[in-house]
Amino acid sequence: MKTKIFALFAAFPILFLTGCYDLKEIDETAYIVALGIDNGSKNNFSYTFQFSSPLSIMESSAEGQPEPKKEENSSVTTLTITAPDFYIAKNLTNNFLSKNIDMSHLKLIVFSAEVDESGITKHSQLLLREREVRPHTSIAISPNPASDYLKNVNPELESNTSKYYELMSLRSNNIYTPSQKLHDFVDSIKTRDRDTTLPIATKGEAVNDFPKDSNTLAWITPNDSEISAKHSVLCGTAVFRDGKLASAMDADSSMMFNFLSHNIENFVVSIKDKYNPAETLSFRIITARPAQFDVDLEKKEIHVSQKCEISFLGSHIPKGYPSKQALSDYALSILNSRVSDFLTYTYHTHKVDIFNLRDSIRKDFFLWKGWDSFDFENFYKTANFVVDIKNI
Amino acid sequence: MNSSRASAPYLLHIGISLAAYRIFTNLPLSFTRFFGTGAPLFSLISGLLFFAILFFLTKRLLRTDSESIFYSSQKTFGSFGKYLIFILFFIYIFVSSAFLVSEFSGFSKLVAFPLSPKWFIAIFFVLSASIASLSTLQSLGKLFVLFIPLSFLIIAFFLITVFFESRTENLFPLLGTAEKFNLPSFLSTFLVFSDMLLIFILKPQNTKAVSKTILRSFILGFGLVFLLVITYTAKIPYPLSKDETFPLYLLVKEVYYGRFFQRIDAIVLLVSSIWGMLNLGLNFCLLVSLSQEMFGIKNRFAMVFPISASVFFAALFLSQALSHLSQFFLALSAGLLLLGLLILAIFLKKGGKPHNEN
Repeated sequence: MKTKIFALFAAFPILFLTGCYDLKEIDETAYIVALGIDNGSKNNFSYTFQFSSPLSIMESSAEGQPEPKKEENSSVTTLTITAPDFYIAKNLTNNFLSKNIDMSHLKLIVFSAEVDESGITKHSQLLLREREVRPHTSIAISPNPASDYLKNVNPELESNTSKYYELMSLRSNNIYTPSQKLHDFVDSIKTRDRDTTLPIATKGEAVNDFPKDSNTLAWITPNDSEISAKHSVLCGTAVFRDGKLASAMDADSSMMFNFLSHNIENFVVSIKDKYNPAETLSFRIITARPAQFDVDLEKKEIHVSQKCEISFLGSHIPKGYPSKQALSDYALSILNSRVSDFLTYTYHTHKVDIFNLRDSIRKDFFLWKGWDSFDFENFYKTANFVVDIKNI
Repeated sequence: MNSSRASAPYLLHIGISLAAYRIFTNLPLSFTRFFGTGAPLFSLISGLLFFAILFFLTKRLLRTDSESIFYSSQKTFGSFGKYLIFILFFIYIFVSSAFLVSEFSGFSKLVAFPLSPKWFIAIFFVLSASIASLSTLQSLGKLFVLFIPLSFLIIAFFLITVFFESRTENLFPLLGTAEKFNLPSFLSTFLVFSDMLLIFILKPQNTKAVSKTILRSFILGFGLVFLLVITYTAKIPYPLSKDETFPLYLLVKEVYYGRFFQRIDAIVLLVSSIWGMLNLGLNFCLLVSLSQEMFGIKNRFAMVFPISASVFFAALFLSQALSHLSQFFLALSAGLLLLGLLILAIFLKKGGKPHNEN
């Protein structure tokens, strides 16, 4: 009997669980879907909070007739606050928002390129530490104010902006920019001498102003293309070292990076016809796994091998090529040259280790002491790349 | 001491739980802090050494079916030896319980209750363990059999999937910071499995397969610890990995099976809470049984409140006033207990009539 009374007494506090310290009402909560961080005035930061407006999403989904596209994105509410600290800015929003702010649906964090190394490191670490923020939250950098990017986001085919961010940044259908997750970015900037990439978030028309990387003969790049949409885009790659912006790569180099690191599984490339340079030939390239990097420390060579399936996208074999095989071999030789140029340009000109070759070399060392004494920086800046891409 | 004896079928599950439950605490981080990327290798060495110690102890101390460790110590060193082993076990279980309450409350707070005070979460652990301690070990053993295999598989599944998403390059250099190796640091990693020593007061009656069961349970429990250490080292790059807390939580956050299945915190919270409550219940059960034996009190109910209250306050004291010393107290009590058991195993006298413990 005593045991039963004791058990009942012990079970009593369970009643308080539903409404105790961690009570959260869903209709009293405002969900942040994107966060922009810019430099503000007087050493402050300017925080752009983009909140989901569930009622607007529901209205647009419920209506049978498609509404004419508005200039402004009505599925979100965007506001900017300048404050010395993220938490002060977050607290200040409660001065005029009746709801509690929640970051558990945060999908995208955009830093302005103006924010310095300590600002990026501090904020990305702080956000990763937040229990509500998921490690898989996407992160990007904007050459313009981050607030401009967020305010110009107006999904063309998606009523839910939160889902738009998720699809844009985590799905591997965008071949011209890498995807980056918050936890991977923080891991990289907190780990010594590790380079990491971020997608570039900008306005559509600004893409054409980016500096272009070196070109490979017969290879057709998307760099001269124009995006007619005025909305925000994710295009190109920014390379970070120790939290500091070290370099940037154009759309075509980003595609090469995605190809070798297997961020994209298939893509289409166009190359000039060697017998008729006015014509272009298109090929689909499918990869199954990331490229393999083997380092020969004695010969100072980095061997890059990748297996892929190359198929010609045309109804008939162009003149001059005896077979489809000859056509594929030609495409393969151009692809090999393009990858070789890309790696040499990235490692020797940009001087960044975007594939983290240091991790591959570290396998040859048994102790951290030995690894620390190895001059990796000097090695990769002068090593030769031997590229071997095979058509399977 | 019959109430503190587990039947053979339960011993395997209790053993697995004792060897593995500290994956929910900060203790597995000690491998990374001491050995960097060499954490998996040194955790393997540490596990093998502890296995060897366990093998020696089981061979020496579990020779007769009905002889308890307290009777063996009385036979070898007289009443002084018996009470010394009593005290060493009592202190270790008490400190371990306080550590468990403190760490599991911290884990639950981190996973799901950020605004709740730690003492409030601790109350639930202590209350559930208090109720568990009123029952016998056989009843508690049934809960272990029911729960441990399932939770073991859940955690192993999550860890394996995270491992396959991690970068194996992070495991190199293989020896990590072994050049800074020192013996006390290495021995302190035994703390991850030290609760396994409690198995010697849970010895079941009438079975000859006890030693094998104990060793088998340790291998399984250690397997989970090793899986955690290797996944953590591969997922979180060194030196960042040495500054983190609650490695299992960090890895669980990484679980992402597409948009449809992520944020599995709730599952892990459930598993960790039940696992913690079961182990704390076992500890309380042993504390009550030891107290009954030491002070000759027959009423179990009378012992529960003082023990649970003192563990609760010790946990709060350790986690707030002496947070930096909590591992030190645990290491000290575990070290003394291990030393006591080793001395007993070495000098154990053979023969003699089995002691009638009733």
